[in-house]
Amino acid sequence: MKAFPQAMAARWRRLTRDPLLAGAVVVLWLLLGLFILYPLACLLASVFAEDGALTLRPLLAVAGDPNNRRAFANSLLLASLVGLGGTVLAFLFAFTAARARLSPRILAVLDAATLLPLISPPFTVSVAILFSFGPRGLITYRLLGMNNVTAYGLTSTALAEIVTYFPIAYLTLRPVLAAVDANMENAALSMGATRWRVFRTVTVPLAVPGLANAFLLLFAASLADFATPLILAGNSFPVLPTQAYLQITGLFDLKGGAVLSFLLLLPAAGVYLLQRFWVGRASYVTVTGKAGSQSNAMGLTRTARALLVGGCAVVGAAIVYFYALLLYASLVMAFGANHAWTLQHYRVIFTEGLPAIRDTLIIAGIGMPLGGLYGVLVGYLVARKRFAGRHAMEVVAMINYALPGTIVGIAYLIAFNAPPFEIAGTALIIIACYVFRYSPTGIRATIAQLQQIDRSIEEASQSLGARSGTTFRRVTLPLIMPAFFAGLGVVFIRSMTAISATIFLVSISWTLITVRILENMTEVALGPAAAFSVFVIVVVFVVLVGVRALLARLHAPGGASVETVLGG
Amino acid sequence: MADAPALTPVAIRLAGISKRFAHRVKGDLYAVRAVSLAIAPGELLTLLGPSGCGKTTTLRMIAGFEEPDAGTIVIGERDVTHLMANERNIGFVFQSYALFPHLSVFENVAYGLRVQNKPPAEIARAVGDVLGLVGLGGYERQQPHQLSGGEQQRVALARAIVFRPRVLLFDEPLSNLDAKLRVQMRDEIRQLQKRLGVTTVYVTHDQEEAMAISDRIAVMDRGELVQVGSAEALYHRPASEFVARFIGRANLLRGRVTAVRDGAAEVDLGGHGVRVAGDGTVAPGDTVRLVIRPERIAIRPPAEPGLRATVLSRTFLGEKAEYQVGVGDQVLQVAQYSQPDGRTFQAGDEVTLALPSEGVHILAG
Amino acid sequence: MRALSHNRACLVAAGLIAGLFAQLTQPVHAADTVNAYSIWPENYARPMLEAFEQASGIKVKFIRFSSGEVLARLIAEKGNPRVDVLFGGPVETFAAGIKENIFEPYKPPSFAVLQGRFKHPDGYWTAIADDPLVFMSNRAFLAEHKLKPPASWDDLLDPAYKNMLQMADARTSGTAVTRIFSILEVNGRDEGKAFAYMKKLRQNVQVYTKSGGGGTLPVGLGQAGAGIFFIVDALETRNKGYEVEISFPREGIGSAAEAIALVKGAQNPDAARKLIDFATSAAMQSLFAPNKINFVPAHPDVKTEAGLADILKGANIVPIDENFAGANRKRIVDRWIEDVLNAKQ
Repeated sequence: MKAFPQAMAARWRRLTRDPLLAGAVVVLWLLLGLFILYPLACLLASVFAEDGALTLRPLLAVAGDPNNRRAFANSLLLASLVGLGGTVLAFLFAFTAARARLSPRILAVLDAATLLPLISPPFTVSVAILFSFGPRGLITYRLLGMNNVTAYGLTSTALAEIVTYFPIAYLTLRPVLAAVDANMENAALSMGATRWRVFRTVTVPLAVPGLANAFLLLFAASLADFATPLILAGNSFPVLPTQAYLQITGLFDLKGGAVLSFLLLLPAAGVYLLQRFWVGRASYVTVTGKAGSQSNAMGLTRTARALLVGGCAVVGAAIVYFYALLLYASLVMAFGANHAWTLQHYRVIFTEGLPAIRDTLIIAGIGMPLGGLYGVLVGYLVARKRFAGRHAMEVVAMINYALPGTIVGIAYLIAFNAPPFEIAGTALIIIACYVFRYSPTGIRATIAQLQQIDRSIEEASQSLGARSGTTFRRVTLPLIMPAFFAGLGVVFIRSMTAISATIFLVSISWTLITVRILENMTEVALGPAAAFSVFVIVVVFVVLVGVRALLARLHAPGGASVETVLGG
Repeated sequence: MADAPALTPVAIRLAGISKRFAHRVKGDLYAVRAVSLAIAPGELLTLLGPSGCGKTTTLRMIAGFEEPDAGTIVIGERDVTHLMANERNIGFVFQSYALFPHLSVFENVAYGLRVQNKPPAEIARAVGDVLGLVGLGGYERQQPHQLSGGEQQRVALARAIVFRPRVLLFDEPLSNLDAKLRVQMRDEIRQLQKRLGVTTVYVTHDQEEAMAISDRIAVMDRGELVQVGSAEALYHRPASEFVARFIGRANLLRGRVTAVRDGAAEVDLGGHGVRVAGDGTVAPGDTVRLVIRPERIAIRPPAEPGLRATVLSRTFLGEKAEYQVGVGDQVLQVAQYSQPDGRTFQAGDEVTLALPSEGVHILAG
Repeated sequence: MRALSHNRACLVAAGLIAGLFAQLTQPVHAADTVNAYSIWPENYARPMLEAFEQASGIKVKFIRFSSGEVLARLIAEKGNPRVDVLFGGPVETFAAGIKENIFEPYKPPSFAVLQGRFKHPDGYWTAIADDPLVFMSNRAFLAEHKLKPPASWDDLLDPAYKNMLQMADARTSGTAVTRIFSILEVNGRDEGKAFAYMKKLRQNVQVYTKSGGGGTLPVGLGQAGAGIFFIVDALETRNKGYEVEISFPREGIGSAAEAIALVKGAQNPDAARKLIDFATSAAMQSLFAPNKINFVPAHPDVKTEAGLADILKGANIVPIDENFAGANRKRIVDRWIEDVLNAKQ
């Protein structure tokens, strides 16, 4: 094929003719290589190499241990349950929000209730469940008089994770349900089908790709969650991420921990592939031609509406109850023993806990613009420019996001604790971890936003004589500002609330609020832990509101809001 | 700007341009195959053809948004084949207008001048002039989303010409407008182009539009150039059945040459003879195909001499009536403009068709 | 014109970023600083280390980890330690660390006056406190089941305690290891008997907690009925106001010394030595009582606080041979994981 070298020559010419593009691509690959590929390689080397030789022994040793196999199976079981339960719950909420014709105020309350788990640090729901459903739990014992109920195990862990993660699915399902073409339901109705039948045979099937996507999101989130099982799973229900964490921090077996996290890699990769190549392609709700207006959407019967709204209200109330419990614990001397009101815990977090607060805010504050910019840059290059290795760049950029946090943390620990890139113990390693782990949501938002902007706008700029840098700066960037700010907000929020990766990366110089919360939990200092959590929630909420206000002012077309981006 | 002397217009030369792409199912396909075209300075040439024929791809290659796999593109004296779009000094008007939604009308139009770092006073003057030229004086502060389709189109046009490009390219600019506006706008575009004297390449699938505004038309089909010429040449002397059917409507009739004399051919159409003037390439005994435009066929009462036929259907269209007429086993289209004597025919009527010798063209091949 | 100012802005920004970058990647290396990992909780370590800062003028930077975590860190950082001192924590952690070659021997001035079990013969670690294990039980739970506070190891096997015991997980907590070795000691180091007991005990255990004190709050709240903890955690719970009882098994229960050690390859060895001197001296340990830290001082010159001494009166504290514990820690813990933790229910 003598056209091949010609095509290569053309590609090379294109790259060299546009030095800014070439420069950006090179710099990005260097960053991706250093902060995504290199740690992963070190992890794999740790798993597959011993004393300089390639070997499967560590992997086989770990995989051969029946407890680890049990943990693996448990992880899959838990993730499936959470995926199922969370999707159902999310569908309930999304359907109610889309069809029950709630007043805007009630809708806002619904949104706020589902927002809470998304913006809170880990353990909040777990601890509340412990206190509510344990042997002396507020609900099981005080309210229902049940004796000897155990709060540890699969049920409570699944429950906690469902409540914690279903908002993610809710946020992705809402636009899907809203986009289901009302005319299709109307057509079915006009043919005599009952509303229930239409729901069963038209509405739900059309939403299936969205539901599948939601399931996979929740599955992945549960797979990666190490904090909730740490509190609630007990010893009878080991799961992989917690086992990996304990292997390293308890048995000081870095290699074993690395192998365990590697086992996690397999289902995580499977989920990612499924999402990208199966769910991502099928979309039944793309509207062709002129969309029917939503006011024609099939209404609900009185009973159905009552049931739905009631269901949502119950779940919403449960969530509010959990967080009220948290607030209460932060304001009393010793929850369960001394219920005298006090601000002592808040005083403690702002004096002794001040370094952690300062460090976390600094790190989040620096990571935020870096992550936002990086996300926009990668999204733009991948979506708009054609260069060699474009698809590879997109996939690599997503890796740290798709991997469970424990894996990333362990990989960073192994990779950066020794020369040539010794940045362990610094703020840079934590910032890098956050930027490369949470920017992909910004990347995706940018790509999605760019898909709504006609390519011809950038071609117009080109035809008017502007080079690619000028075009990006004056035309593209202003138009993708909403995605930029959304990505920015996500990096900040996750930086404030994440733990699973960064617990391995804190040091004497830099510590994080979430790690302090964990320490407080294990020291049984519930008051400060609760106070820290409340602080984080308040800060994140304020930032979220700020970003949303900014987005509203930028007239975000196509609805790239922080919430939808948070969900992805 | 209206007073500034026009830049010397340039010629555009395409030599053997090809563009290939890989289709998921069908394998390698040619979007454009070996197209060679010479566009004269100051000319408005239209690339015309059905969707998928490669006209837009060719236009985009002239603009620099696509790179040809083979061949060269020369604008003026410069070989621009491998130059980037922002180095070619061309004005491009997009089908979707591609106005910058976040910039005002003024800023949209001024964009190209700002890129060239022109001083603000000059920018203000040039923008003001060109907006006046397109009839949008006073619209400077408006935002694109506040404008109607026609107004957006004019802004796109203004933006493309304000910095005096050497070549102007149009990619189906009127397809998003309604019919009446389309007619009005195409006239305005043509007048503007004549006034500026800029070499222009125009892409459309609407043959009426092409005929109305072009100096020459290049018809394309499935990536290849089929015929280039003026509207009249294409209409009266189509080079192939495709062109005959694409430009206007055509009746194709098979016949046999019985004699050639005085530079005209006698063709027998199933019992009826027709003289076709001016074609010396055929010999007696040849089977030929004749192109006869519907309006050239006169439809007469059965008593008069001519081809026997039966009216199959009649459609009244205001200024004319269209008839489907059966002749033997063929169906002909006949267009009859309102007759002074108001004669009409109905379905089922027996009629006579008169085929003149002018307006009949022998198709090659 | 505009391009120039644009370039200048880029340069300034680049300069700022470079400066920030340098700041953020700077490991701490100031001359009068000492860095430490502390196994003691923040609110114990802080007053002690602040006192040291006052007394010596040396600044201390520390972060708290549980004993398992800290050991993992120190081993991972072996070639390039980020801290100079390991502060506090049960001795068996230090013993395990010696095996991994992460400490450097140093004998502070108090070395000579300390009891045998409060120091490593070669000086790899020195004790700064003693911490006996206790049984802690929830008063309401006892009343409900008409039980007396457990006074024997076998009392904990009572079916009333089914699913109501919480204690530490040996994979992550030194408390658990001390507990396990206690059980070994009271069974005359007969592993068969000891593990048989622990297997039976397992039936009553609700959860093995990650940290030593993790079960104290549940017991305090009544989520659990009883547990085995270090006295320091148990008393903290009681002093917070939770209604718990503290008792000791008559067969005996162990006590773990809390130690301090110098990390091999420390960046600030002089400052580190000063810290160790301070921690092993009467000066620091007399601060336990005023700060309500219920450790038993290791230094013979410091008297145990009256209330604490009261509780310990009559308790049968069995010393645990640190060398035996250190030598067998991994094996015993592995066996515990295998036979007790992961036993089929």
